[in-house]
Amino acid sequence: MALVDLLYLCPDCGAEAMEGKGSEATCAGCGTSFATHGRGQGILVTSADQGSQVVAAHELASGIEAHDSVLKAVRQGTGGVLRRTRVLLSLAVGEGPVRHGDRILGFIEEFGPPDAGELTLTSDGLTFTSEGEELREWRLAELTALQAASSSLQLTQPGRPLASFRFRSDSTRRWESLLREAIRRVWREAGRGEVDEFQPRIRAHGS
Amino acid sequence: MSVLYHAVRTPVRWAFRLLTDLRVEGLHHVPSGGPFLLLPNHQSILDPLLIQSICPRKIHSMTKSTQFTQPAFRVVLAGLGAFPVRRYRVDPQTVRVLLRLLDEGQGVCVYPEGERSWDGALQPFRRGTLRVALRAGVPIIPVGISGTYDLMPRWLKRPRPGAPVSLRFGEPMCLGAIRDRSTRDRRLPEFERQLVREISRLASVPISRETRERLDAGSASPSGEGGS
Repeated sequence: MALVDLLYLCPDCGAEAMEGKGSEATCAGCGTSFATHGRGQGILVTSADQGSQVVAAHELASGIEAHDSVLKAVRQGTGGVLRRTRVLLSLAVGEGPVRHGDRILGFIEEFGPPDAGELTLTSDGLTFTSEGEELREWRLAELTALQAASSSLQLTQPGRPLASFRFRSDSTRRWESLLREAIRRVWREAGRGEVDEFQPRIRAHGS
Repeated sequence: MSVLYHAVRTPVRWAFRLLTDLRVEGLHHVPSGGPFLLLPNHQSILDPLLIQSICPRKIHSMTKSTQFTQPAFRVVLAGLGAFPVRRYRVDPQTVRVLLRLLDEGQGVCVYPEGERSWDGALQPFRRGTLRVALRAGVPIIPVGISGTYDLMPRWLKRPRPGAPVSLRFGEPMCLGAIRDRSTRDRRLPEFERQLVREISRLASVPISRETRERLDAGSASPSGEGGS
């Protein structure tokens, strides 16, 4: 995880050319650099002409959404492949209890071994192709929950095991935004309402 | 308070005091006895440690189930009062555990956003959490955390000491136990608005676009029961 997971596009010029590690990122397109500020309270943005200012992270994040052409395509329901990336897919194989003394505190999911492959987003679904050529598909209209952890996304679809995708070369935050928008569009088009909650269940206003 | 909880609490509190410019306000709002529910905003993985190290009472935290995956972590987290919630489905076991702890007169912390904010802004609250809070009938204490986003946001692996951190406990909201589901659902939108406003004020964080849209739509709506 790094600042580039938040700033996956350049908030200044919109280029998909962010590079960096840890708390620093630079746009290879326009040269603007971003770094966490010494004593917190925002991100220090230094443009190529050396002018610098501290900007709140949420303001930068809003700027990115405005630039994101993939997000626009998702909102419009453009056909074809919208985004593709390398992931590790783990499928839940069961659930086990968490105990403390003689009490059961709750249950946790247990995952099988991860499978490396490629995840593809289209306007109506997700496809995972493993390196062994095995194909798995999820239809967006059938998903019942979507949740993000720091570097993975989990999907629930009734009758199928919980699927967890760990991103190897793309921003989890970006995929979360794309999937949320894609699910919202699919629900809207199906007349199911405006989705405003994704976990523990995908739900629309007033549903 | 368990030995592990006590052993961890004191050094963590000193670490926060040494490594950050820490300010704590409103600690007197935490009841000295009886059950209560803390509802803070969530900016960092350090938030539970901050709250547990500062609160004079033991705090049980609802924690995402994936944190319990490693057996060693499972033992430590359980010893620190954490209990798991499966976020990919409605989790009745978590609600049972939460209500049982409150019945026993304990303090419980639930993050109504359900996850850490990516960009520091206040995310929409989980309806399940709000429903359980209305059902529980215990003092609900809104909590505002600021600065932990700068200390260690979810996109950083290591903390960056030096950031000013503040932890502010608001006045308890005593709404009484609302057992009837339809009454709870009617009260939900106003409760959500009130809580978002108060936590945003205490934490001095902006309210995200998604949260504003949901409040504008008055959409804290019926259906579904469960944890967040």
